Amino acid sequence: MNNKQAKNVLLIEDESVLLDLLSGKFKESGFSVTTAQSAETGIKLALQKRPDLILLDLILPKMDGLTMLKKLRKDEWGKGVPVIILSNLNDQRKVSEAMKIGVYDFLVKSNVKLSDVVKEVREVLS
Amino acid sequence: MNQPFEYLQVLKILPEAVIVTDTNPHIVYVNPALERLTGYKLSELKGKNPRILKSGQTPMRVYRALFRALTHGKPFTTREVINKRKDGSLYQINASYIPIEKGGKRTFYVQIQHDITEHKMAETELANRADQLAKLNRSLQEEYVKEKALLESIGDGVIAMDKSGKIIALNNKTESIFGWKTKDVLGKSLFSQFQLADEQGKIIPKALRPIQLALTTARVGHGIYFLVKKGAKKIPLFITSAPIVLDGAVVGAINIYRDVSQQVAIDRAKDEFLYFASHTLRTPLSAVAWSIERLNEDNQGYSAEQKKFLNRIYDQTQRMIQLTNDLLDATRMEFGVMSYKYEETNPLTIASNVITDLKGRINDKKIKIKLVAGKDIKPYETYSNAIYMILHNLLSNAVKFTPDGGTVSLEISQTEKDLNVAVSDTGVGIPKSAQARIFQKMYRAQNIKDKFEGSGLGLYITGGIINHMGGKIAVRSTLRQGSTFTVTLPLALQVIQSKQQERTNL
Repeated sequence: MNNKQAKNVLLIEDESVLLDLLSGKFKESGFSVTTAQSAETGIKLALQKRPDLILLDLILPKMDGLTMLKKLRKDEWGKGVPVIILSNLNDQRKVSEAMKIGVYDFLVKSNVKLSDVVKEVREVLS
Repeated sequence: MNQPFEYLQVLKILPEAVIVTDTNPHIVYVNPALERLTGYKLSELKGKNPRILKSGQTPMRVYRALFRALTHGKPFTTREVINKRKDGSLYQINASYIPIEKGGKRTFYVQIQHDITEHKMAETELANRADQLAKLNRSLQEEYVKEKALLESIGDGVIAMDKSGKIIALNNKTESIFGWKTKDVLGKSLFSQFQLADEQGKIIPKALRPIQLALTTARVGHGIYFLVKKGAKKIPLFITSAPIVLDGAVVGAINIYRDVSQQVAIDRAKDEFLYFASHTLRTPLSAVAWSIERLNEDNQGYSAEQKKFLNRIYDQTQRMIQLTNDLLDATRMEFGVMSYKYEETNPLTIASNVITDLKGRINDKKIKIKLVAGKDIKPYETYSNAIYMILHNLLSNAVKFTPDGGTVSLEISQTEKDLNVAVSDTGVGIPKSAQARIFQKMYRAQNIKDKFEGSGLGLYITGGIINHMGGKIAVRSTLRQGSTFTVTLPLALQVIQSKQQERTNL
């Protein structure tokens, strides 16, 4: 993977500690990383940089993750970009709603290792 | 009657009954109307004393008055004479007695009888009716007082409306909920009195208000709506609107308004707690867990003891995460807001997912996993995530309480009605005395209490979910040999919506 153009991952996460951990892990794993701490910045960067994959948190300061996802899916390019939800809110209703809008997977932060997240992203992008 | 009676022809066609007597008095003539009235023929009465018609029911004073009048040559009229027919039945008459004089000498008496039996009966009937009405009125008043008391004693607002939605009655509680005075709203249309909104504050159009359902479809409508009051907070009301149906037609409706501000506040507090526990508690735990993971990626520089500490921090964080997850699940179950995912489910797929998810621990302890399943297991519609939670809890317990190198087996079979699951292990077993209590909240048996970590919530949650689904769980266990948990889940679920869904569905 390192030989080719590095895959770009957009991380949308408002907790800076978690964002830092994710970002470090992905960079170390050979990804190019774009980060956003709000849904507004997230969608702007998504449409601008067109990352290969988006990791999206649900609870974000103003606009929440699912609202952003709905907006993203309206865009011609945004329709197809793989999105993985990475949140600590694991309410079944949220999971169902996200799946309906169209996400690759729904991961609960406290229940996965960073290595699991990277593994899954690699799987999607391979 | 010695001489021809001049008016005989007239008497014959007269609708009133007529008796002509001589002064004796003996009957000399009766007309056909009298024959019809009494059932006697002229031939039977001729020459007889008119006494033959007496019933004995006429008051004596009537006869005394009659006698006085007639001896003075005066006509006499009374409504009080009751006579007897040939067949013994009685009839009441309006009778006129007229003395006929010829040449200063009394020759005949003419008696004209007008049957007023029916009239009298009607009068009696009328009197009875009036009496009944008075009674009815009294009992209605009593009913009214009772109903009024009943209406006022109800803790909910109650409004009665006619079929056009005009208010015809309401109770005190209604006044206090809406801030009305009864006299101001009686006779007015319900719709013009207040507006309802949904949770987001959007006004509910008239056609979608529950009362409309009751009035137009004769069905009971209910749901939570928000009362919009000027300059005040929206009040959540649980409204039930029931039609009043008379002879198949809707003649009105009764609305019941329950102020559910408190319940809504409690529900909100529950949601906030769940939100707090799931998001706010887990965020720092994730940060710690991930940080240690990063540290462990390259732990060459640490001493053996430092590595032990790192592992300990990691394990304890995982434990804390597990406790938080259990607490969340238990709370969701207790709050009735556990959200189940109803979909076509293959129990075998779920079972293998669970085994995959536990692979790490299974491999660490070199435990042999046996999956025994009938070939004919078919997918069916059920709560897939509930099946996952049940299998996950039972299998992770089995793995946890089984020593290294032991065996855990999962048997799945299906009958026409049920899904049967059995999870067996070669673990530490459960003391007899503890077996009845292991499904209780936070109960942990003596033999595992200090040796194994746990919240005492796993089986409590599992039992709760199984119970929700109408199933059963049982345990067989021998100390130091192992345990078997058997679960029976009906394939056809009584639809158990979580309260959360019920609320949103209203």
